[in-house]
Amino acid sequence: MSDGQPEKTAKIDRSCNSLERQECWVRTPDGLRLWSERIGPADGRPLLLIMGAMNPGLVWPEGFCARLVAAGHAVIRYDARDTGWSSSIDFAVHPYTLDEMAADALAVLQAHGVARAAVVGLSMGGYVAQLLALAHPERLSALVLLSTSADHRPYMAATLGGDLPDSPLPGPESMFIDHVRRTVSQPPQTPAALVAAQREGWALTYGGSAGVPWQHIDTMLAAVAGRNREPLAAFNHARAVAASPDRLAAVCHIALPTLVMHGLHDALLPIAHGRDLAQRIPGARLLELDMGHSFMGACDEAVLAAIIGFVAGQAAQQ
Amino acid sequence: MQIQATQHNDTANLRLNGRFQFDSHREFRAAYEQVLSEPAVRTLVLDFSGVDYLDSSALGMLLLLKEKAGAVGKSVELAGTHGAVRQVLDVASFARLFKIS
Repeated sequence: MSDGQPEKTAKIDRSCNSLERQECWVRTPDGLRLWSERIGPADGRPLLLIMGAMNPGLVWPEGFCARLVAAGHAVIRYDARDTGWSSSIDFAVHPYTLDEMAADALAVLQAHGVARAAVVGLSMGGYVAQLLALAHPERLSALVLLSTSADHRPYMAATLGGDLPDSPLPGPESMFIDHVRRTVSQPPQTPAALVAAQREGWALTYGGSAGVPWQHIDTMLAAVAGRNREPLAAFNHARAVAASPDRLAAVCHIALPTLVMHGLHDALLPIAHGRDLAQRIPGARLLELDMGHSFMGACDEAVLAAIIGFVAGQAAQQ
Repeated sequence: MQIQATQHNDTANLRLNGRFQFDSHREFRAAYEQVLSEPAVRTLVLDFSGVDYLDSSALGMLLLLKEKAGAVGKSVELAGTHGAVRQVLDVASFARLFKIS
């Protein structure tokens, strides 16, 4: 495994430079180093953002974080293991599952001295957030699950191959499966081809009337380019998810105020996943949005409004 | 956004006009701080009938106002909400936090 180190030349969108920030390197229980930062004042209401698979924490847009800070939050985002500046791992030697990634999220909270936080998980980050909520409910004030599922197996079987699981939930749409299989069978050979494949992949994660936010995608890809020192390590996330069991039964035991948000046009985890998740978690609120799997740069306002209002509502009741 | 303040007995009314968004924060804060400093005021009513757009930063401003008003024993109500403004408030479940009409 290797430790990522900050590179002075790395590009980070600091368009919200006036915000108070505190970088923090986190040591995980299994000895990895994770990059994290708190945005906003230390006495803000803590809110932890857990990004989806294969992407560093910077994919949470600066403007999105700034709006949460303006609503009174201290926002914490981090590079998951095998992304960004955080440690990368030789998966064959040190395999891991979503349980270790949930332990990482807890370690991030501890490193920032946060006893209790609202937790927002996107896609695979939502899998991690579910496990964190089950293992350490005392550390969460509210749970927001965005474009995620209690059962990743249909997605994994469709994209990685293998037997279709006995699941009540559908796999991704064929256009996305085709993209993944094409990229795997014919990996991009040049930097330009890689960027083209990334743009195509991101575009497929969007949907709904807002369309594909090309400018946002290009800005985001430029911001994270070079931040992943070992880009192929991010594929370990797929291995970790594939090695993890579903949570169909487990999530019924989540005992936290929970908001499930899901795009009506999600091609990766179709809307049935969000509806199923909300139905399984006792008392969960479901919000179906006019968007695809990704919201960043396309549906930020609605997602922000829902998070800000939901978390504030829980805080007012506690 | 333009803001017009009036007061009747223990109720102050801030009539908002225009788009309530991030660049409104200075004028909004100045208006409500004036009202919150009035000892006779017990209730602050924000009249949204002239507002046709509200973004997530405005939600943050409303939460901050609620907190500040609560700290000095005053309540905040939202009135005249309609259309897109009402939709945003619904998405944010603000009816759990404010009296809305």
